[in-house]
Amino acid sequence: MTAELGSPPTADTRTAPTRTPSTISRLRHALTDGAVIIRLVTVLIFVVASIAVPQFATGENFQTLLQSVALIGIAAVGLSLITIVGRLFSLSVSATIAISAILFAATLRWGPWTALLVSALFGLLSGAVQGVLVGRWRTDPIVTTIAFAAIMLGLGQLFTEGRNIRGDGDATVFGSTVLGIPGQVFAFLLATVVAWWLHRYTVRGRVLSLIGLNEKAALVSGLRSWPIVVLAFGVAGLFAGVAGGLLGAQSGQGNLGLGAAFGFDAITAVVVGGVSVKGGRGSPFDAAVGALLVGLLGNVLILAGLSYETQLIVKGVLVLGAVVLAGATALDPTTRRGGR
Amino acid sequence: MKTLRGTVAALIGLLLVLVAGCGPAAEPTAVGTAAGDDVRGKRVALLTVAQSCDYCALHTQQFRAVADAAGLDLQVIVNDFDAGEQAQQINQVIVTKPDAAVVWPADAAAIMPSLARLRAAGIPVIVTNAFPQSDDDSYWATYTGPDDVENGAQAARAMVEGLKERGKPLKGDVVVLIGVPGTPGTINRYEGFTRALAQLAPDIEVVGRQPGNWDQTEATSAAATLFTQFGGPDLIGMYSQADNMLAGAVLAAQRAGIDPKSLMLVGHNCSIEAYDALASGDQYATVLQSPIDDGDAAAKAVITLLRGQPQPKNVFIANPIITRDTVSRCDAAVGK
Amino acid sequence: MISLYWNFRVRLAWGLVLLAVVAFAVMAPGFLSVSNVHALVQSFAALGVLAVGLSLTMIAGEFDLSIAGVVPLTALITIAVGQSTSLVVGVVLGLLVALAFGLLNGWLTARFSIPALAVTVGTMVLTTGLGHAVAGGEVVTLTDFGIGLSLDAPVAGILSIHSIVELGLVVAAVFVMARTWTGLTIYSVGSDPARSAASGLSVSRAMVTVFVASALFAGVAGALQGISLAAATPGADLDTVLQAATAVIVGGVALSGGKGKVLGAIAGAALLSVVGNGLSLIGTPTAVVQLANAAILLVVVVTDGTLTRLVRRGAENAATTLVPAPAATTPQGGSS
Repeated sequence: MTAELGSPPTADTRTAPTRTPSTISRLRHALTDGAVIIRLVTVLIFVVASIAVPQFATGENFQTLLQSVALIGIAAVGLSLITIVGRLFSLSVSATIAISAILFAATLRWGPWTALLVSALFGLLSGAVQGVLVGRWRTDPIVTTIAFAAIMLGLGQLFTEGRNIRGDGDATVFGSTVLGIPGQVFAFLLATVVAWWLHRYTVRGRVLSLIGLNEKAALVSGLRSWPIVVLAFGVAGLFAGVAGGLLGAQSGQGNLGLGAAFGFDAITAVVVGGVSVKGGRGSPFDAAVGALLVGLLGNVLILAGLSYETQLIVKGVLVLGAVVLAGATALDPTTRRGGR
Repeated sequence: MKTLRGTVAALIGLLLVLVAGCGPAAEPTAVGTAAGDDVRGKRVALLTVAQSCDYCALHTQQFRAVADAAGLDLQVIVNDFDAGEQAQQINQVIVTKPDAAVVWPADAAAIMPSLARLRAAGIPVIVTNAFPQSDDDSYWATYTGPDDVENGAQAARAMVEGLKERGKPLKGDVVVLIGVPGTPGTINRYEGFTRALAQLAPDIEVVGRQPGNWDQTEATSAAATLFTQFGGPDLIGMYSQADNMLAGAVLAAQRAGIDPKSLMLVGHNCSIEAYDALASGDQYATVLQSPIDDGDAAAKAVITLLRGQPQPKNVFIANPIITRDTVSRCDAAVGK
Repeated sequence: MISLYWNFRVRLAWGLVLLAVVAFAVMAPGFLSVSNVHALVQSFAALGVLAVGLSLTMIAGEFDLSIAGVVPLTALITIAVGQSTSLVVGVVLGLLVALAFGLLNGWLTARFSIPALAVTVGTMVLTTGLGHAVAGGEVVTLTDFGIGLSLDAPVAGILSIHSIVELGLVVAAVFVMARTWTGLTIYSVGSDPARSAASGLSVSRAMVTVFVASALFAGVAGALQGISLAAATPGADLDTVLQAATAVIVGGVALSGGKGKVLGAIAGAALLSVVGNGLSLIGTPTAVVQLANAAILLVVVVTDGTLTRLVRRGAENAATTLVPAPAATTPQGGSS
């Protein structure tokens, strides 16, 4: 995160070799980018909290903070691909997570990795099917994913009868640390890097943004959008499946209510992170920052000793402030409302 | 396309079949079998909550088992803790005019107008699990379920006993993980806990509380920050109003480098999470609130009601303190 | 061509409603009884008023998530103030607060050109927090629930004051959208904000109008629900928003704006209420109700997708020759 912040924003491709942009114009460019503003706000809150809130700047608290956002972050990073390709959101994230956690617990007897694989494959498959409907059949993403959530939860209810499913095996391997980083946090970092790389450095990733930005232009240039939409939904599903599996490992069980709040938290992370709801703008990295920012606010406000209602009020005002700040600075006639 | 969707449904189905093998229904306890078929065929509506909640599912399962054994014609109506929806379901139930209704209030306060409607329609009511927020108890025939103030007090007693057993002084800080703020279960358990604690050990202070909203993952984050905020030599224990939230707290403690065994952790329900945590010693005690007892009491009460036999106004279910040594008492509650 | 399809779409939705009504009238005895229709209208009016409010923002190309916070907040203010001073003051205060949030949402969305979804995530958290502050950790109830009972008492058999107020708002919205200049402006802003602004329409005024309407509709629904339940609970009511959004989309209002009719949203709400009422009348398990809803959604959404694709193909063939290709955008246009 800090590495990304340190590097200057990527210059426009149209830059001629004779005209290197000055630092100031780069800076101005950066400051009209909502996502950059969100990153700055995140860092600012981080710095302020480190000075003002006594127990904030401790190793344990950072670890606590990262662990509390890790699973939401994984789901959010995957979800951002759907938003970027211009298909708004998936509302089946929570259902996917709950069913994946149940599947993880049910298959744990064959080993933790097998169980995680089953969860991930389930997520991938369910995401890809929704992707085919939304991409190939041009169905509305919100309704399609609401319907799939209902199908998954309905079937889940018929088969589990609402009962908890206990994990019959040892899943402690996911609780251990990798290179000194807690397992879930490592998975979050890995997911962010993979999605960011996929989005930034692969042809499919660039097409993803192009389709989100201007689908007609993409069609005119001979790109078929549906395989990319399937890809976005597939990866989003895969990530939700992994998050569900890890949640199942953490709780030692699965049930239909597990991770119920994650779907909405993931959407919040994507929106707050500055990924444009209209598609095309933003990156999976922004969603990761969004998840961090929301988690950071929650953590700081509790540590500052605020009551629950005050926490929510302040959180609401800050989220609103960040969103408006990002929007206000990005007020640039060419990006004004209504890309579609 | 169709085949693909079919394949997926089949696959989900297949995987879930693997899962399903685990829930044996509890044996219905014999209810007035001697009395014969006097209530057979009577129509009863059970208005209950959330099928995706383990406790609720077990409650319904046991209720159904007892009702089936007595030959009742049972209709189960479920909503997801949505008071508005439940009010509409009750309107609909009134239309079908059952012989009796058993209501698990989605919201113990908002249920009152609906209870008034049921009374006006002449349908007798058993209220189960959540005590309605009213001074006028003429709206229902009998309440069966937990006594939440007493449940909180039991948790305080468990904590004090545990401290004595470990030879620790009755002094220090305690934090509480509560359910959804502003709901009676949360308020009553908290009140019972703090009142009993103040009486038994005046030097123990409740220094902080955070809502975990009955959700394990939310409780994990809430507990983590409570530990950061209040963790230290003075922190001696935590009361969580539900065991699943306490499981989140155990995880948060481990992550924060605090040995859960060094704290006096007391939960509630004796659900499956407590079963494991008590065995490992991470959790010291819990207060049993068995969904089997809860569903059983409700079903028996409605049968007694239909027979026209007298019964007490309030039937509170047993809430013993459960520690590692007595954990087998929860076997039925966790479906073992 | 496209507008032809979306008009047809409204008829399709009403056709489905008719089909469902006939099917349940045959399958479920008592479905058409006066008391069941009363119960059905009660739930339809409550869902309908939220769906219509939401459909206005969606026709304008935006989405108002904050109603998840505004509904419980208005209910809490109404009941809390109603208990301490007077119910009328409570309703007025509650609606004023709802109005304020509608203005805020509309102004922020229009002034800073931020997608309303992002703005309303913030106001939703904010209103939820205010709701908790109003409750102050206590149960918020109205001891005199007689008013609630008379609010829901049958008027002309199938209606009630509760549903008449809500249906009145629904009818007003239909009229405004179909017959007035304001309605026309909202449509045009939804389908193409840039061109609307260029042709001298006030985009900001249209934005503020729809958000105020959506917040007020949510406020009325919240206040009435609070009174009728004689209680209110804090916490974001996301399920209700989801249900309202489903109704709107089933009724053929597109999330991308400019398309669909308020009448369609009403049909969607009617369909969901009829199916929910009918299925629970024949005693269907909740899981099956859920699957049935999913099936309806998939049918609607697949028909929509296929038909729009066909219509668009026809329209695009004609359009490509008239409209110059959109300005090429560099793939690197994304922020990084």
